[in-house]
Amino acid sequence: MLVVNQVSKQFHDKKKGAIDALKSVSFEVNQGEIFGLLGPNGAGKTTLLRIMATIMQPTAGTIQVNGYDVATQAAGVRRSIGFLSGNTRLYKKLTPVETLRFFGSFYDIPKNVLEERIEAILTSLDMHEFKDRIVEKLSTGQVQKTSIARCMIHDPAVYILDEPTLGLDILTSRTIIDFIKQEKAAGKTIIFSTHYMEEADSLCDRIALIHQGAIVQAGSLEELKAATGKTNIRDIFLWYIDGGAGDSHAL
Amino acid sequence: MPFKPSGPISFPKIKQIFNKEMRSLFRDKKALLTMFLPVLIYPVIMVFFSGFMMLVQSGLEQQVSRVAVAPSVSAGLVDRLIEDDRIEVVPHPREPETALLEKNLEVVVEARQEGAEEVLLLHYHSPTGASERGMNRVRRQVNAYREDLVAAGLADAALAENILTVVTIEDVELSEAGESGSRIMATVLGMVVPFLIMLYAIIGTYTLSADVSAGEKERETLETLFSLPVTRTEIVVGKLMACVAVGMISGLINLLAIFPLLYGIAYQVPDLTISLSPVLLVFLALMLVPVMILTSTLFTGLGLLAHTYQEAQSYGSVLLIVLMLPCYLLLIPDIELTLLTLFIPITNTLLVMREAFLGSYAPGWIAGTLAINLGAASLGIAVVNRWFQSDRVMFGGDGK
Repeated sequence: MLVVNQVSKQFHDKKKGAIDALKSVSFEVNQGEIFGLLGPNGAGKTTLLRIMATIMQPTAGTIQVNGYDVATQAAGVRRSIGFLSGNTRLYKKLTPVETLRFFGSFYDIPKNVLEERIEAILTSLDMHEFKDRIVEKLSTGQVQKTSIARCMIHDPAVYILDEPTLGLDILTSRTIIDFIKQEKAAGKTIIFSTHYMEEADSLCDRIALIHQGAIVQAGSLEELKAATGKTNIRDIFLWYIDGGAGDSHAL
Repeated sequence: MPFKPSGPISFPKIKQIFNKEMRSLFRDKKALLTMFLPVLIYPVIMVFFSGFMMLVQSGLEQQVSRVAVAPSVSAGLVDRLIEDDRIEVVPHPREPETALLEKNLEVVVEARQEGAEEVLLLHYHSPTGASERGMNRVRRQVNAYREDLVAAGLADAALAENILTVVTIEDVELSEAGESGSRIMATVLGMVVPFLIMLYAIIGTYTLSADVSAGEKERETLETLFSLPVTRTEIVVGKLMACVAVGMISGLINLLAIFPLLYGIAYQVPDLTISLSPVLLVFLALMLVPVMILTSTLFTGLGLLAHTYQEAQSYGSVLLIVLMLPCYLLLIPDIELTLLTLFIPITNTLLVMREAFLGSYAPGWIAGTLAINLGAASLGIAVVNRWFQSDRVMFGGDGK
């Protein structure tokens, strides 16, 4: 479903010069799995997910999402994905219904189908109470639901979620987690980044550990536990960072 | 590596972006007040303030000037001053200068004899409007008094009055009576009105451009937009269209607010040679469009360099001053459309608008102006579009 092959990304800073945000990153995500990208702040998670979502271009390497290349077939990628991050805000002066219509209109969904889908999403996420109130006047939880709805409107095959629970309280975070589980059950592929180890532990089928722009190790939780002798992701991550493995390769 | 624009442009998607920008704007009461209230209020203030000033001026003209006359002044002049309805002759004070400075009177008239000649000393305080007016009134009476004395002197010497007239001047005015005044008024209006329309139209584009570029970046909705199946070119065009629309609305609201004043002037000034009609409105709107596109691209481009809305506004305010310069060229006396001014966007449009106000539509100049401005606007769109394809658009000009 998703193939990342030797992807690098370099930024140029006037003072610091060239900055390698990603260094030859490679991994694959299978259809229907939840794949976690774990790492500290500045590891390169957001950069990688932005490239997957075609918001940025890689300096080198390729990424295929649902059979489309991010560099040459960006439109196909965007139709296949739902992208959500801590930075993907909503338009404050639109209502949830208007938001869904606005975003839905870009996916070539027939109007009647779009309206049916909007209605179904409003019901499934219990949004009827606030659907006609502008986003500016919604609570954090209501905004989060609207963001999720926005992501789902076109029924994407792949979800790319960048630290979706960052800064949220426990109840609002649960909405996100329930959404992830629900979409997995529906056969969707989900890639999400986090630095909350417990989240990755409870949700992910496979995990990639990323540090300073490179994949340190990738595999299922069981594989990583067996390889390191550690019992939780935090210790596993620190074991690798402290030089527990030489090469970065998938188990 | 920048994104390459791919595939044909989808106008429905551009329309969606445009609709979203306009909806967000019209639901933002603060933005609406900031953008449109000054445009509406300013002409109203101008009309009432002008009327108020005229009223005050008229009132001041009715005021009587207190003129102190020294005993040394000849009786003939004193009689003339007394006969003037707008002059009140008062006793000469002990300290005339103090009385003038304390505004207890407006003018002091004294006289001394130098041989056969009477020298009149007219004391007044020019910074004080009332004293200046009083001085003018006294001077008129003094001039009339002098003419009487001259006439009497010539009569005593049995000389004809025309002996003093060596050369006579007669003005031969080609225009009909009142026409020159109408023409002058029309010329002034033809400069001021397009200038105001253009000024407020440019300010309209300036205000929204910062919001659709740096503002969207600051609100973190740009990333959401980029993840959609819409090309960056379509996003740019939709946003620029919104800026152009706001500029047009701002300029036309200003024009509509001024129109009652223009009709009032046209009613009061006979044969006023300005052309006020729906055709003029449509023509002005048509000429504004390319300029609005150009200014939108300039302000939006600057906004893309900024990290925040406030920073974008700061950059934009400098550009606004620069864009005022071609506007002020219109105020140069006798400036005309020439090959030189044709190539200055904004100035060329203002000159064409001025001629339209005076009822003159020259197809060659209009076509040339549109071509130059559309060319400049196209270049602006290309540059902004190119910049928008880059990763740096999400981070501001220095890529941080």
